Amino acid sequence: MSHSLPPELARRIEALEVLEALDEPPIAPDFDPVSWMWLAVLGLVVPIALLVLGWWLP
Amino acid sequence: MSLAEGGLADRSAWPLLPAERTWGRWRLAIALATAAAATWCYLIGEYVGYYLSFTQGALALTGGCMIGMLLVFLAAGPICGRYGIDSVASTKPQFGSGGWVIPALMQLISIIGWNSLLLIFFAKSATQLLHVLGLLPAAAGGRKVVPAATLLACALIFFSLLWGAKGVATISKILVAHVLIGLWMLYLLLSHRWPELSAARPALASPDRLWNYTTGVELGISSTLSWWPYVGAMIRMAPNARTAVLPVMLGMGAPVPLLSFIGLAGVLVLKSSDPAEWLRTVGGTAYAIVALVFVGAANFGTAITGIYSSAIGLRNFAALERTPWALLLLLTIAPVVVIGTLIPELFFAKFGTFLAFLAVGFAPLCGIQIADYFVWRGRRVSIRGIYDRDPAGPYAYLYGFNPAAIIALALGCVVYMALLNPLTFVSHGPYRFLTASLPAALCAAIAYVLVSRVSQRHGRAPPSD
Repeated sequence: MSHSLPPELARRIEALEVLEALDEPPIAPDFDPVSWMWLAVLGLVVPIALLVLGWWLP
Repeated sequence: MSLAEGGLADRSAWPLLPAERTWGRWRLAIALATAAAATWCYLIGEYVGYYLSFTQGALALTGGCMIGMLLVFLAAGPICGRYGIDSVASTKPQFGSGGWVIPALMQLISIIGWNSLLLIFFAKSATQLLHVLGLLPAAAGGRKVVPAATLLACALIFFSLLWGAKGVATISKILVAHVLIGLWMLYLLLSHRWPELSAARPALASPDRLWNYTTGVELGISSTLSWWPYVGAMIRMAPNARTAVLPVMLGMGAPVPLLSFIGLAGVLVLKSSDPAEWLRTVGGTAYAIVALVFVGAANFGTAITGIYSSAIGLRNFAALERTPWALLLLLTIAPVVVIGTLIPELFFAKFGTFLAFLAVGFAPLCGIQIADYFVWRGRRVSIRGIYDRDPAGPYAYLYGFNPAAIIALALGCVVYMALLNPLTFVSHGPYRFLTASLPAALCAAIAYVLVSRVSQRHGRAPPSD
């Protein structure tokens, strides 16, 4: 299928596939436990706490 | 000559290799903060100020923005961060090798609209600044000056972006100072007018306290959802998705509510969200000059990022894949020039209508992307499939379109509009408990997985990766 891809694009895809096959940084995994923790804190815990606080304000 | 060797990697929609993705946390955070902090923050704050008091509005808006940022980042972040591609390219696994034009058009329309607003605002600020400085006679109206200033701003953006992402990063480093100036403006308002601010009552508040509060949260969520295009275009320059977590959540998620407080406070106390108007009242001419410079810088920085994101998105079209970067920039800026020079006032008057529909589309889009990556595919996509246009390719689906994504997107839009009319803000059903964006995203996500499963059983869709 890669025959239809421009050579430079095909080269890039092959390089990324090699890196991905290693299944280790830099490109895999997408998030590690620390980044999941930050996502949970900044995307759920803090906003929910702020919303609860705001609701109970007079 | 490879793209990397030519220093042109950031001007294509092709995946970037790790060696080309050199933006660290700080650089990314600065670029994102510059992109997010613009005049729209005042407008967001102004709308919240119609329904909530300052403290409640500030908390509802901040919470909503952070939740919206999480949705956007979980939607586009993993694929864009993993392979160094932009937001539009990241939709090919869900929408198909032909269906990705739907999110591409959504991105194009949203960015053209935002940039037109920003540059018209920039031109208006420049005109006001010339008036304040005495360089433009008071009798001279903005009818001719605004289009001319818009044209000049477009030309400046064009030449800045001839450097590609390097241009974005350089401008970001300079213009990030405007975020600090904005916070100083907020401090001035809070310190000078706190008694009035704390006692101020919102003008359009409903008797239903929960409805007001939910609307504040909804405005925060829907505002950040429309930054979906910007997130992908920026984080592809970072080494991976992990590096982008804090810059996105804090660099883009925090300045927006903070600067929105300016509009929130302004509309509650002085009945105007535009600091260029009320800073003159609070601090005199000198403060007005600072405000006008701030507004101009803020809009200019964001417009640069927007035009860049839009140009990269256009690269996904086969016909534009090899178009010279300068020509691609011209194609991207042209609609903004047309709107900004020919119909600036009309566009300003109708912009609320345009803005209202952004969340209707982007909430389901985020839901679909999250469901596809984390649930349907188990966090695996084919980078080769994203660029494969073969009719038998992994993302070819039905003539290039994935029915599951299209049905889910349509359903999400219907759910949103059933809960909240984006034009009149008349709500129905459980809106006051759920908001409109979150149910729309959730329904689209569930529909996407269910329809994909049915399609797979009937052999009309390739199996999940």
